[in-house]
Amino acid sequence: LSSSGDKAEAFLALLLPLQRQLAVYCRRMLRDPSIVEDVLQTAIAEAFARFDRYADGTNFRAWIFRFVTLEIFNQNRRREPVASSDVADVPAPLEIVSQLAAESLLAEPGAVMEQFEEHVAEALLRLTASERATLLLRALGDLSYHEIQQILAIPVGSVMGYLSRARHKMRQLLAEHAPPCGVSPPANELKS
Amino acid sequence: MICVEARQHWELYLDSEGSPELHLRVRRHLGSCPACASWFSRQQWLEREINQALGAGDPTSDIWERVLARSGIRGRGIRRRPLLIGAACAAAAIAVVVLVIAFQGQGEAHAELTRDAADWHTQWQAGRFRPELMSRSHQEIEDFLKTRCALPWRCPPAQAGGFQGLGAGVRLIGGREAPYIVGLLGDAAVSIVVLDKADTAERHDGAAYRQGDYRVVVGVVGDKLVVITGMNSVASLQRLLDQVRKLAIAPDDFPRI
Repeated sequence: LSSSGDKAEAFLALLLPLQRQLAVYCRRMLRDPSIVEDVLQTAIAEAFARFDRYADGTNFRAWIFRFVTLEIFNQNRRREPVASSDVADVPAPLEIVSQLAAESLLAEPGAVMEQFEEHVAEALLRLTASERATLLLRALGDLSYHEIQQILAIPVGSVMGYLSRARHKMRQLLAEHAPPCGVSPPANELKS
Repeated sequence: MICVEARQHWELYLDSEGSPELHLRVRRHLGSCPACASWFSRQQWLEREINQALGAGDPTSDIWERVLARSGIRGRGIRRRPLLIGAACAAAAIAVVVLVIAFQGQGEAHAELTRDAADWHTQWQAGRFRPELMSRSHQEIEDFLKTRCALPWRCPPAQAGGFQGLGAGVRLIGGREAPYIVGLLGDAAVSIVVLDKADTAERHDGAAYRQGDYRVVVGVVGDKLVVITGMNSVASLQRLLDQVRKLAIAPDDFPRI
């Protein structure tokens, strides 16, 4: 790039379409949402400083999400050093999660649609950091398993495991709001 | 494949991950098992609702203005502005002359169209709205266009022109619905808006315009007018338009409704 202005323009052209996803991801991931701007500023400044190393035409989305994710983990770790160190946390056994509850949500999902956003936000907070990160990188960042693997620096099998658990837990936690609304479990409809 | 096996793989199928063979087997099973087809459909719907709820919230453009200003990135561009003013004025003057010649007195509507396209594209990039469907799956985008807009078009494939769909929705323009697809061409955001063809549209088929930082390419496809906007080169936008032309004519395996 011929000048710092060109570099800034090139950087912004790539960053612009991702701004909303990055800000929402940051807000959902941080233990203290009031520091979203500070985290974004630090991460974006760091990425911009290293933009010379970015290979034009490669995956900018995964590249920039990694900077933001690292800064989020740093900030969360500073605030709650013990609880937030679960990038390699021990997965919760799924057997204890009620399959029936999650299936009942699927049978009548409309039952929890009232205040759905609040329930989703609440359920998200009950996931581990790794589950939350994989779910949000997939849902907000539209990132593939391989890209999430690169961002979190974990094996792709772990990405699949965390994502699956996160989805299952979300459904189960959302289903907790369903019984008062009259949700009933689905009939057994499997073919064998 | 049996039901239990198919349902074990629903996430890989939903996320377009896993092997093509697995997808084929799941698709075959869904074609023959209404119960699983319904189950997959509900999973997909619920996942989309959860994702939309996760992405909900206030616009983030204010945050970004402050972040970019404080980190000095916007400032670098601003410092160059005095140097660019002369060039920008000259470019604007040339653009005006070109537009006047091109439109031959009837270009006002097209100028307004391209300006609107660029403004709307900017709003999307700034995160001021989210498309109704947020998905990288071209199949889902096609399904959306077909069911929501009765537009049986294929989404341009990633392997052909490097287009990666990000979502789709419907705009209201002059009280009429205009379907759109948004996505990335390379790493730059592009939007494809489909309008009813105006009477004068034939005169400007394939024309390209510049609106601020954007290029806008306009083309007639059947009875529609397609407006493609992005920061990419005109040549790459026109290649994308060519892809749209080819894919807009639904092949036999893509049932019209």
